[in-house]
Amino acid sequence: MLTIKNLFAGIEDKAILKGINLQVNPGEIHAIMGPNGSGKSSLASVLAGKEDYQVTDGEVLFEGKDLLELSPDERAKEGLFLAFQYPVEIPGVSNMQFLKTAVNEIRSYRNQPALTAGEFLSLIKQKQKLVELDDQFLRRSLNTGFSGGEKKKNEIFQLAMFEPKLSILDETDSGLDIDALRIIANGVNRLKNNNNSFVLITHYQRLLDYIVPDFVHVLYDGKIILTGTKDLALELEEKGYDWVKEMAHAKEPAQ
Amino acid sequence: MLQTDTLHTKFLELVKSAEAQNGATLLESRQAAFKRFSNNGFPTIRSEQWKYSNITGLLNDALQVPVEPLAVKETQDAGAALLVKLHAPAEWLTILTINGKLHTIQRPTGSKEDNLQISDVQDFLLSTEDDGDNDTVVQQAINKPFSLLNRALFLHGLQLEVKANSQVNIPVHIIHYYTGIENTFLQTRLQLKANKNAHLTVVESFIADSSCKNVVVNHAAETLLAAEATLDHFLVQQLNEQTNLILSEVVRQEQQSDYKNHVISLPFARFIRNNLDIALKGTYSHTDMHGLYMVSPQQVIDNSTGINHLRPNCTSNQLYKGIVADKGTGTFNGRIYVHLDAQKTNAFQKNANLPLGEHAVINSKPQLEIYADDVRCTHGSALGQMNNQQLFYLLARGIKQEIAVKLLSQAFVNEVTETIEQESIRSYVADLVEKALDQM
Ligand SMILES: Nc1ncnc2c1ncn2[C@@H]1O[C@H](COP(=O)(O)OP(=O)(O)O)[C@@H](O)[C@H]1O
Ligand SMILES: [Mg+2]
Repeated sequence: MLTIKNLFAGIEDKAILKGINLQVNPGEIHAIMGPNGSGKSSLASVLAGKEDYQVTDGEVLFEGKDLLELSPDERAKEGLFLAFQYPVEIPGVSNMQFLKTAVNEIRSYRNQPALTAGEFLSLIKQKQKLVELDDQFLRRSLNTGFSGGEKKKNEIFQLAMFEPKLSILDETDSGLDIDALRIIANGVNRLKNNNNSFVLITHYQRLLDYIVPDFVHVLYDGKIILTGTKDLALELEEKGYDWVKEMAHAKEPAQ
Repeated sequence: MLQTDTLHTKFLELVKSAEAQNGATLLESRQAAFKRFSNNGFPTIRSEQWKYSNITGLLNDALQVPVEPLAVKETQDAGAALLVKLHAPAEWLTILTINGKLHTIQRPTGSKEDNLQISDVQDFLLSTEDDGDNDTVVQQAINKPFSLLNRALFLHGLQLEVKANSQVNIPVHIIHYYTGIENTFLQTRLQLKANKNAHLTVVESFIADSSCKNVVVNHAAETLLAAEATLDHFLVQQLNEQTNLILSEVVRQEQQSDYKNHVISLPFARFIRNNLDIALKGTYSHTDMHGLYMVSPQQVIDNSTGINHLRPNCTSNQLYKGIVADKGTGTFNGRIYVHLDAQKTNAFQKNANLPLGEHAVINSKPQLEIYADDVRCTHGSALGQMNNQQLFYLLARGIKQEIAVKLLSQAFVNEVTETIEQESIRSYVADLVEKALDQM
């Protein structure tokens, strides 16, 4: 599904990702954890194609294609989805208009006919239930005036609408109360199957009680410094990050 | 560039022709106006009001000032067909003028609207005589060069007047249609008068067809709202690269009146200048000024607005937004003037611009002058740029760049079109705006 080899990227002169290697296979759930500022969101942004980042080295293959050669919209059309850590508000663009445009663009890329108004509405109804998103959010401008939790729900609702192959969830759990967390986790668990994959970026072990990962990676200072199973998340929860940081520094050659 | 001497010759011809004679009361005013105009001639970029727009190329030597009515081929029957072609909403009362001259009035079946009087201009609504300090701002406005020239040289003038204590229930749609004219500097005029506690909605569409060549329309409007009157006024400019417009509107509001103005400048004229001067002469009055200017490449749209708070307890609200294509020039020059006597003024002004390319030129100059001490005024101006976070969000959802830009442009203009309360007018304007966005 996704192969990242020795990926280096930065903004202007600042190096942020410093040699990432990661293999995600169909049907797998990966969790990426790590202290603030270690490059988790940057990794997600580079994969989604955010212009601000320059890739200076390395390679990313998505379903066999060179991901870095594709424009952001093509990446989405190929089946990559990023649930943003901070979904942006877009006043004046209604949620419905946005969804319809996006769904039909993706369908046209896949040589499927545009949905009729009826088909579109029933698709919405069906996916809406998955995350218990109220009708009123569909009528409003995109994310505008939504609470933090509603924005995150809306991200997962879009994920359900677009049915991507690989979904990256950037701290979707941050700032959610336990009910919202449960709703979102249930949604993800129902969308999960043997052909799609998820990368969960998270700070907290809490989410991993609901969505059980196959692998847990620790990202620190632009590198994956440790990989384990879900037990690693528990250990991090208990002991914090200092011991992994020390381990990472110990591995570095003396300057 | 057009010379004042040439204009003077034309002016003398005009004065002789029957068209000018039939309004004897106007003759003196015409002469006074021309004299005033001649003193200073056309404005140059040295003038503060015109510093962003050079009109020497616009007012080229080839332009002729017509001194008698221009021939119009269409018959009355063709008027109805033309209205269909121009997508004039059938449920509105429609007044069609062709090259400035009244051509057809079409009423929806069953509507009478006998409280609305439609006539030729016999006299100016706003006089040039000074009737005290309170009126000097109106004097200044009607004595600006293009207003003066229009007073002197206008061939056709249309006046609408609503009886006191009455309401015109449907929008009155004035279509200024320009067709089949070449090298013409046309002076047209509209006067709107809402008497005490009268209510009127006017939509003006300025539409040019492709048969026009090198046309400049100098359109002047005088608008008067008596006490407690309300007027919803929409100016929708649908011109093309051969047909340019200089518009000067002066509005006088008496107490407890409510004036709402929308100027929608659609792209593709080479040059549009909108002068809007408003005098809040009575207490407890309100003004809305909403503007949307969509500037195509190589085009200039220059908005110059002034609102004068002269008396206490008035409110004004201004929102002007511009979308400016690469190599287009969009200008907003907006002045709020709160006079000494205008305590408890509440004035709001906002200008925002969305450039669509690196070489879009945007001039934004909000000005506040406050001489009263108990007032609330806020203004803001944003040169703006496409919000990259928003753009990336849309791209990351599979929407391609050009459609994402269109969605965001649409969102940007929606803030203006959403202020249109009447559903039928909002959809008339929104459709035109959407089409224009597709073409920009
Ligand atoms: N737009 C930006 N410009 C410059 N530096 C940035 C920008 N965004 C993030 N960074 C830097 O990149 C590093 C990684 O940030 P980020 O990817 O947001 O980390 P995380 O998501 O793990 O908290 C930080 O040092 C941060 O300051
Ligand atoms: Mg982050």
